[in-house]
Amino acid sequence: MSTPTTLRPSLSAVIWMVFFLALTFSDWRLVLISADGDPALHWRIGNWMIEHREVIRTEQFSHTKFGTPLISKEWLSEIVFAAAGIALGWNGAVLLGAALIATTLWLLHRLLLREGCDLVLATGLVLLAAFSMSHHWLARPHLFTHVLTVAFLWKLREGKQLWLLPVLMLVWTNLHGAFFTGFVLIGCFWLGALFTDRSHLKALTGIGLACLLASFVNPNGWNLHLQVLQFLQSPTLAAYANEFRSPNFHSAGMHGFLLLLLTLFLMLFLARPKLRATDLVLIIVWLFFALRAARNIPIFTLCIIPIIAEQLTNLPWLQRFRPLSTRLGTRSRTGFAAPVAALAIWFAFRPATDVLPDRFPVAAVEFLRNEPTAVAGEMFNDYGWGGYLMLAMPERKVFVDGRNDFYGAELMEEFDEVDEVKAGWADVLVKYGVGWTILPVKHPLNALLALSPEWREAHRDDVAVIYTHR
Amino acid sequence: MKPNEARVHPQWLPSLTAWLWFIFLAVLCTGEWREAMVSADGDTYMHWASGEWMLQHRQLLNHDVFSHTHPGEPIISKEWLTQLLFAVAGRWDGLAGVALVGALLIATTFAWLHRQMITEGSDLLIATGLTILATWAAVTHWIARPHLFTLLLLVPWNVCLRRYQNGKTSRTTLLLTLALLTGLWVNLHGAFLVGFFTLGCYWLGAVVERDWQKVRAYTLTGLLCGFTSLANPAGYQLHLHNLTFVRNKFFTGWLAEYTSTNFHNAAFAGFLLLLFGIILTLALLRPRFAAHEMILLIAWGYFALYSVRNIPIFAVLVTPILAAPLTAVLPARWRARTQPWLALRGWPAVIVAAAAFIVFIPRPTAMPTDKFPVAAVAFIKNNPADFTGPMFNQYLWGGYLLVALPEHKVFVDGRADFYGEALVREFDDTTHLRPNWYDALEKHHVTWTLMPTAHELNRALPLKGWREIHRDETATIYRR
Repeated sequence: MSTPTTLRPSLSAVIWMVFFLALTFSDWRLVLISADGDPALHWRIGNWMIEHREVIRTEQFSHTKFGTPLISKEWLSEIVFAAAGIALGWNGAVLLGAALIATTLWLLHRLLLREGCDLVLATGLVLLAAFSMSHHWLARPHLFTHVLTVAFLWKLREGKQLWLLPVLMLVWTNLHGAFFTGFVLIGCFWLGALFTDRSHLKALTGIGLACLLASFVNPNGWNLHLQVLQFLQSPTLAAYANEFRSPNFHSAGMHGFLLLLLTLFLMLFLARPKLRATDLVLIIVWLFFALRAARNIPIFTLCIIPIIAEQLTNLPWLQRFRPLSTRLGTRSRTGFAAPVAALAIWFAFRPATDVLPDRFPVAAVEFLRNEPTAVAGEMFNDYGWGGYLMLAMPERKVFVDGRNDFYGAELMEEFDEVDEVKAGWADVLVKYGVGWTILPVKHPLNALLALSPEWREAHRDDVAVIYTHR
Repeated sequence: MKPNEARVHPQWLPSLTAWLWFIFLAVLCTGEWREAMVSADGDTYMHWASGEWMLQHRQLLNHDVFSHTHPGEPIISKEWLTQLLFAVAGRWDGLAGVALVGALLIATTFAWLHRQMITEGSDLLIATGLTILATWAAVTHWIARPHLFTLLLLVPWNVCLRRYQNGKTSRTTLLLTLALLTGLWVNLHGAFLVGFFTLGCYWLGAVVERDWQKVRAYTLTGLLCGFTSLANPAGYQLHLHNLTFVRNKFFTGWLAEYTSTNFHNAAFAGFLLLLFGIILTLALLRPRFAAHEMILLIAWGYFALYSVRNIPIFAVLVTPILAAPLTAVLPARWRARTQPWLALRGWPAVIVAAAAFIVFIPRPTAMPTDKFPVAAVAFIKNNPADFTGPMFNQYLWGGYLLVALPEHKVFVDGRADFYGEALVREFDDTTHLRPNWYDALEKHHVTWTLMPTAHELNRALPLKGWREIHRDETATIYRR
């Protein structure tokens, strides 16, 4: 008796399962939550919203901006992450992050197969996409953008059911601030249509406008758009976040992107394809964005993998994989057994998960919990630790955290003044009533505080040092 | 009136190549560019000082005479010939002379590139556009330093390889030309390995195309050039030294010119445009490139993304590759219009004009006081008694101090490869106020520091009892 089709996993489902299990069981799960303090930050904000049963509108977590109006770009993601965190601890964020990553790759695989790409080639290209995107695999709301980017691309490439895009945009605009990606994608297809088939211009213009209207359906209306645009135009703020910087090709994390670029160039050299205008616009526009900011590399990847697949799938020398593809023949298999099995395995055997203690001041926080009176006054903290401290010590207010768009250029410059020990560092500490600092062991400010008679060391471990004002 | 209808003899009418050479030279010799070429970092001075020492002592510089941290230690001088040339130019016209050498090298490199494309059959306008694009892409590394010889020599190197590849020159010419160039290159600049790597791209291309005759020729050329490259004061030690340096992850991460491109910086717009030009050419014109051209594009594209200092090399190597497909799509009537201009040969007129221009441009080239500690150096010279012990100085100022304060030995200068990772790490720990920041100052018995006024070290020193004895907008001096 043969297994029912619905139970037999397709290769796409196997991809979902493999990535989900690899990310949740290997050390990747620790990277997902420890690469920076933002997973903790979003969890903490979501916690507040769940506790208060309202969307956050004023600042609650920092002493430098306490009570000022706040536009939360990702309120819905934050609630989802917080709910997962409340239910499963750090494993909740890992579960959600891994599921979103696996879903993005699953969708991409399905898209390639639907467009007629050879199965083996599609699988290889999805693995390449995973390699290229992996440097930005963090349990944060941007993973929703990756899923929705594939969904947008799917519909735009297909040219059917475009009415779904405004619906998706409505969700996107509440999930993540990078919903602008959707508009850029529509713009690329619009520009491509302008050069080739102008009959689509009207439909794309209409869909763009509908998406714009849909994007206003969020707790902050058009103020959200203004804030995102202001942030993107501010060189100070954008430069502050690592992921907004150009890719560092010395880093091993960029090898996947380099391999993708190599594949793109080899495709152009060897296949010498007649690219559609839309494809060329997508390549140019998103390569530009990817070279400017490493966080755009995953979007670039998702945009160009279908283009490469389309051009390579008919290359004569790739036909040799056809028999293998036929044997694996998955088109008729749509079973959900693999994802269900993966989730079951995870729930049964999930490993203990916590942030990496050498990345965050875990021991220092423990010290403060045990000796809460060891410090007094306001805190000055490392930028990358802000999110973690918000979650680990909800009773204390941070100086700054990963939301540099909220803090604004003026406060970030003041933070810089202290962080880089510029001439006015002491004045900034006085201005904000800072009574203690929690900084990495090698931070330059520690050297000054150690020599200053006004400060004394309250705690030191391998990761963090706490100084307190005498 | 077309140029060939003019009454003036073509030898007196400058070609567009000559015009480009003159324009590049004129731009670089005037005002801000001239200053920028010599003040981007302190290395121009470091090379000048090294050359000057060799001129004074009539011997090669094979041990350190400039620092108190590595006194007398053996040096592998990678650029002794360029350093001598810089010193001669410096004796002739001071900093303006050194800047002029840089300007001549840059102008000649890109004019030669223009000539190369025209000789290879490119349309005049295409060649001019690509030359300007290559120049724009390379603009970030327009600094009067020995690497300009690498750029210059890469042009004839590539010309010779392309001519042999296209059957326009013999194997003997290839062998002799490249061997001769290697002999020069290996004594002018440490990046002579660029030539070998480029040759390797052609070799690999021939292997891919199974052209065994060319494989043999390139192998033989590589061996001969390898042998010739030993003709330098350090022999094979030079090769080992260079390879060890470029493989050192600490240095390639620490030195700004080895870091990856920051595409937020407008200075890299030319490189970005070149990258997109390549993609558009490939996608729209769908040219059929030879294997070695593909390999050159990919390999040097990777190196250019990896380190900004490779962008000019990438630009010089890829623009001739793009010229052919771009020329092929140009309408015939366009080419017919520009054809007469190719007959012009007016180099003498341009050289006379350039010489006159060089003679009459204002002098001297001054160091920008907002980038280098000019006022602090004057203070030190006026108060010699206050500066008796070893100094601790900003890395980028080291070269400048070799020339401006020859009576004092520096802590460090631009020769990171010579100082080695250990000392540069000590320097880095001190300047970043790491927990062991004071160790290097104690270990090397430093008695005074010369650092930028905004530098964080200046906040820590007073807390250690050091006294500020000079401060201006650029530099601050602390004394123990």
